[in-house]
Amino acid sequence: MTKWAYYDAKPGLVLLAGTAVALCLVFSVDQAVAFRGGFGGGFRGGGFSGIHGGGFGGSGFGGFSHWGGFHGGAPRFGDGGFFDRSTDAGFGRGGFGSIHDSGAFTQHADTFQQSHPEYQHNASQFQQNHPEAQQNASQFAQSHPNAEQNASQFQQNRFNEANSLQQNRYNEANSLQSNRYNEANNLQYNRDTTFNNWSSSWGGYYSGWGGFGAGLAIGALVALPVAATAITVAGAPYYYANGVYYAPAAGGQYEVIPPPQGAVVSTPPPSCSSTDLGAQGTGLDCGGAFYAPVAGGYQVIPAPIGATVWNLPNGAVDHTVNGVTYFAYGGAYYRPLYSGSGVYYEVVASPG
Amino acid sequence: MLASRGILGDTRADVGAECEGAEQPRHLDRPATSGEHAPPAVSEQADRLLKQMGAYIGSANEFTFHADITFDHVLPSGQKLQYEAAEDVALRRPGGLYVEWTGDLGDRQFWYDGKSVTLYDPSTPFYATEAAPPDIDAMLEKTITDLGFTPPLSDFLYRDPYHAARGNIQFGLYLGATDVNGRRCNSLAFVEKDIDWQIWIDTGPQLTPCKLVITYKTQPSQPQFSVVFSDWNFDPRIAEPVFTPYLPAGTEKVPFAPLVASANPK
Repeated sequence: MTKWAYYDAKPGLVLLAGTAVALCLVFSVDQAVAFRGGFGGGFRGGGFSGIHGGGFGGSGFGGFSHWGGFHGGAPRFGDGGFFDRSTDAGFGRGGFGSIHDSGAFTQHADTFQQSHPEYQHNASQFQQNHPEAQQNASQFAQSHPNAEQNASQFQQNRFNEANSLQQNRYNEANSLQSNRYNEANNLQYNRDTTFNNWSSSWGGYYSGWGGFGAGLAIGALVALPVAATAITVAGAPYYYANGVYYAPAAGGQYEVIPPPQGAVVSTPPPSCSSTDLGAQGTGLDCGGAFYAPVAGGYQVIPAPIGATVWNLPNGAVDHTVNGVTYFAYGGAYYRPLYSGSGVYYEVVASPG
Repeated sequence: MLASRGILGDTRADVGAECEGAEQPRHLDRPATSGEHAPPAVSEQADRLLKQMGAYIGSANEFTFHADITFDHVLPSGQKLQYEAAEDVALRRPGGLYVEWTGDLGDRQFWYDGKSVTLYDPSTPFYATEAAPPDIDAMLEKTITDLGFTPPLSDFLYRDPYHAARGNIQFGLYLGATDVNGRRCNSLAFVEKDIDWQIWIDTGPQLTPCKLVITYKTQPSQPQFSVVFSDWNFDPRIAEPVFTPYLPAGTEKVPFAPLVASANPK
């Protein structure tokens, strides 16, 4: 189908239309040519029917919301890896899609990879964080020290163990699959998240955690997870489990709190993105909480001025100061910029 | 399908033939010896067809075309996901270009009016603009050098597309004629240090590209960028306002980041 239309002898109003975005061009010339409607289609607005009926597409990839959590701090889809085209929609960052500029592209890509070795180690990282997946016969034996067990009991245990292992594998597979679905849904969600949505205050550090889509609200009183680890920050006791921080509360309960600055944890939260922290090197952006690598793990740090992220934290609220839009979350301010052909956000000082 | 006289027979006929380009082709079946400067080994026919296409497009002062694109997005795990996009281009020399990109991962609009370039992501309320040189070639060099991007398929926007595409070729050959989307096209394959690319060029009368595939062979998972071209129009009567940014009310101008940040935003 021809994308160009001719409009003769009169001014025209021509639609530049995708299925979700329509722009108007008003021409005041005798002959005009412009794009006709009908771009794209399929993906925009109508969802992507091929993958679990969920939506697809998107370019925002905001924060933690709607993520199932990939244990072990694996990067998100939309992580900014150099062939993560989500950040530029495929539109030519670093010369992508150009023969002439392929050298520039490769140079940028190599630079990126050298400064982001974490992208090379996801498989081993996953395995290290999932030792249960490597359970072997000796581990099985260690967990069954009762050598006097009779054959049937042992066999039953073996079945149980096998079933358990198999169930773990299924769970793992389902978790991974769920992550993929969440990725797709997250893409669509972010596509649908417009400027107005950005003003809303849904989400937060832990939105989408504690079970797929369930979310954990700051201030919620919950039972402490079994796997929680005790930590101390500035003399105060806290607990940490799978990216979430808890403070002791009355009645034997525990309150979900924002990541306390200064906390050091051995394992970063799930689904963080690698982030340039400026003078502090490369760290992690975990939905608006920033972590710097330190001895023994990762430390929660204040949002560093100059840090750059592709995704605003969920719940960031826009502020306009002297005609310039900023987004605020967790005491930090973010300013939008175009980097390459995509919009990203730089942490800046309070605009006042 | 490749023509029966295509992929093998024609290829050998090219070997060692003298090309008209500035660089003397190296005989394909004689490897360069150690220490010998090895000029690009490009078959005469491949070089000639590429040059003809470049001359045809480059000689036009005004044209439009459409491109259907598939490109790979690589997950950190190495898994490749393929996405689609459509690109429509309107060009008028010396200083007019409009590129509209509509894709699975988002849309972009790019304007150049001979004075400045403007980029807009319609999913955001933000656009960026930057002063630009008065001709398209210099503008394209500025965008990639200073701003960290270039409109995809920019090779075909230069005044000399042959020169733009030819620069880093190490090896090239003619594969034969085949049909692409109903067009009869000559297929050429080229090898560069970082990419392999294959182009199909219409057998005529319009010597325009039918298809292009770029393989980023040095990148993990070797992602590809694949394009099928259509609707080449060299008499499009493009209205001047096409090259002027048209932005929704309330859209806010934000800066382009310095390239150092754009290359490593995370």
